[in-house]
Amino acid sequence: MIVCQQKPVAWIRERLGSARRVVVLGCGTCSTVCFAGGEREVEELCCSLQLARRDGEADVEFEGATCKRVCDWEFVEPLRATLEGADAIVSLACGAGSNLLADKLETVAVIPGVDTAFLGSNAGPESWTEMCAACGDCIIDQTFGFCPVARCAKTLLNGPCGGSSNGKCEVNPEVDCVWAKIVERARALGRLAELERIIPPKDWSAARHGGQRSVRREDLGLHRLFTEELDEV
Amino acid sequence: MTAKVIPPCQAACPVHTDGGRYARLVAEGRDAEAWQVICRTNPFPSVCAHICQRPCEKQCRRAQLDAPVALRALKRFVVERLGSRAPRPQPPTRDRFERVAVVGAGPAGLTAALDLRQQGFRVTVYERLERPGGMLNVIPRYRLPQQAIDADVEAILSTGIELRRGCEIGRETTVAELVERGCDAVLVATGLSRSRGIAVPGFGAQRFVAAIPWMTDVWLGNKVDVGRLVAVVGGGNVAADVARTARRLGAESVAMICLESREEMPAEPQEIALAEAEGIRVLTRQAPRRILNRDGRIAAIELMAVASVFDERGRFRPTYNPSRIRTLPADMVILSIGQAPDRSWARGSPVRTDDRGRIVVDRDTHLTTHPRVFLAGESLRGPGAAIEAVADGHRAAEVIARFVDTGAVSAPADDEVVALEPFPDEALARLRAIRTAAAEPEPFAPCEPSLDEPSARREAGRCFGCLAGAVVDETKCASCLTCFRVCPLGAIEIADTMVADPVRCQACGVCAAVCPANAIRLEFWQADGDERTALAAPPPRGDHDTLRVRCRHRDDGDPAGGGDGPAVEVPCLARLRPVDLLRPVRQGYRTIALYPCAADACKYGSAWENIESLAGQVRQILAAARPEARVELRVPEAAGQVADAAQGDSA
Repeated sequence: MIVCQQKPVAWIRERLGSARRVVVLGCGTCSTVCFAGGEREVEELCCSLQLARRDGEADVEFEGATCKRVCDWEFVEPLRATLEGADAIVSLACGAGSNLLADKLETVAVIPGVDTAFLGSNAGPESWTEMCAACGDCIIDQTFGFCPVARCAKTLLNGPCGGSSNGKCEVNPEVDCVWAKIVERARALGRLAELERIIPPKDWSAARHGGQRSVRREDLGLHRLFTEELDEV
Repeated sequence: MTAKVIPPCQAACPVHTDGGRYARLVAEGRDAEAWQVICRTNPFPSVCAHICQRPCEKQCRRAQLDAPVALRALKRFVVERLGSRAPRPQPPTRDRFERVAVVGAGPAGLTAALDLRQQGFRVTVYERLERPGGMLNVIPRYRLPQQAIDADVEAILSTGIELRRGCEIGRETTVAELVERGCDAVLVATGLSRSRGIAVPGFGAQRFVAAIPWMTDVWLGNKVDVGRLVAVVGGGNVAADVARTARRLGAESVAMICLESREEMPAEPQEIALAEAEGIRVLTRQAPRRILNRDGRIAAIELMAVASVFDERGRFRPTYNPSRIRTLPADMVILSIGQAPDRSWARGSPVRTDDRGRIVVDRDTHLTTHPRVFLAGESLRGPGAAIEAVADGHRAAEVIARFVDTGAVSAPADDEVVALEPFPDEALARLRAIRTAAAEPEPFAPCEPSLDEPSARREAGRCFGCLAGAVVDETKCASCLTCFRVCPLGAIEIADTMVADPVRCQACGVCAAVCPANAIRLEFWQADGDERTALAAPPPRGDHDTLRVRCRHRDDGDPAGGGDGPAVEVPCLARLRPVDLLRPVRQGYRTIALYPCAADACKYGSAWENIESLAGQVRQILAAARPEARVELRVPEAAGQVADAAQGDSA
């Protein structure tokens, strides 16, 4: 899941500048699950932004809306008129959704209401932890299922480093050293010897280093179906 | 068709009164709405408030934890609370030409009369006696006050039903004549107004009487004869009523004589206990053998021991032990061994009877052999509770209305319902863990006196809220699992989306409050608008910039919630989301004062931490957005604490 975290109300207020009509747009998928931007947070933020107005400031109209998934345009399309009628959109979707809004709506300012934090999983009540860095070249078969790219502060492919202490990381003692976990798991599986082998450098071209990434699945043949159907209409 | 699942109390009620619903309304102080729920299918609310046999309470799931919710007592509380202010049934908006005659002004007849009247029919009710109410008149007034009968009957008649008192069909006119004079249908609901007899030597003596006519005379205020030593033959509720009545009329010694053992007696144990408390002797496993007369007066009743009452297949087939005889001095014998229909209404009419003198009738369609004459109530179904007669009146009215409209006679539509399952053991264990003994109000024993208001509210609050709780909107659910993780009873199940299990849910509403997708609603509170709309408070005026938000269940004897100025009430503060408290601040309130129940008095047992957390969240948001606004938590002083302090002072 993509984990997001809402930005401070004051930060958002400031970015709104002189906007008079503002739509706070929530996303009904990941952003809802991590309590950053579902319908509940949309209502709350509309209210908080309104409350944060000072005396003497011009009236601002805040309208809330939430769609199933902002990163698929078809879900957002029904709200197009509302969105285009606004001076600014405070997007509580992750960066993917917010970018799509800017792509599709040429005239409306898009203000991020959340920080897209990471790809993570639930780690107990009200908490989430990063588990994947979306590096594009997964090697966790060699690290016993744990990702050193996402979970090691130094992104070490061959660890642990000298800062691993009692299973914790020197960068943040609250965080488990992922390499300590890898070693423990290898030991438990009776495969400790495999860690003697040096993991060679990864192919980082699939990570952020090659510019904006995309995935195309022409093998599915769906593109052809979509086009034909559209042509007929 | 799949059967609709309804709360067990509702399923058990012959007219499906939604007992849980009115309990919840009483708990929240919404008595007028409770009245509407009670009257929706029952035109005899005052009568049932006193004498209903409470099939609902016998099925209440709360009994799995401690004792059932005292629904009848709550009904009585509502009835007494509304009193003469109670709204009456609506008269029809439009009159029709068709006429229906109803014979018998008892619960079945008057219910059907009301249903038909409300559909616009012109309805005339013929009653043999001067007083309407039918067999209700036989119930002793110490159990059923005359005002209760009068209130219900007057309300029913106020819709424009004509009542002909003292008019006996079969004597003055016949059902056939009613049809000839233009009635489209005649409904006969004359009840079981006769007592069954037995062949006992000595029958016919001066003070050998049948219970029903005797009781009717007593409660109609006619002159009645009562002996000094009264023997009541019978072991049912009516026999207990007769015995207690004889005692009240001055009999020095009253004994009930019944065939059954104490366990087998048809009377409710509570009724027997009340009779015995009044000094009535209960002689079990005894059968009357003969009446001993002296000088044409009863001197004693001779009894013989009963060996068994039922045969091996459970059928009533008593066997006796004639060698064990005892004699009980008595100067009056009242026979109360069952009731029989009075069929004199059929005299002079082409309504066929069978070889045993019973009216030939289709039990499904209520139709007799006369194409326009229908039968309902106890005279069709046999002895039963008043509310069963009401249910039968509804059915008959449905058949008759359709008959008049279409000419076709067909059985009423069966409503397919099943009762919600019992609470599973594992969930019950969780419940016990949440609900500490201190949090539980004392359940009410079935009671004779009225409940005072605090008691009624507390008692009503004991309702588990069967089927009143969480419903997940699958189109909005993001499957975040939050509800699953927070539900104290494990009532949320994981499917494609989350699904609330109504068998476990008790409508505490915590899941709805935390749902980030606003995908959960609470069935009962949704019906009258989301509870959060309660927070649509009027904007602050003048100096009143504090909004008091109160739990409707809070019991601190201060309905105003302390101080003056605007106040709103919600069913439970733990159901609120932060935004619900931010909105009034946006309206201009500077202080939001929360008045929850005391931690040890919370109806749900689990709300307290949630309320503290809610206040914390709102404070945090306000600190950033509107620092001058405040949230205060005003906790009631626990009764125990006050008492302790007083003790400390005196020590």
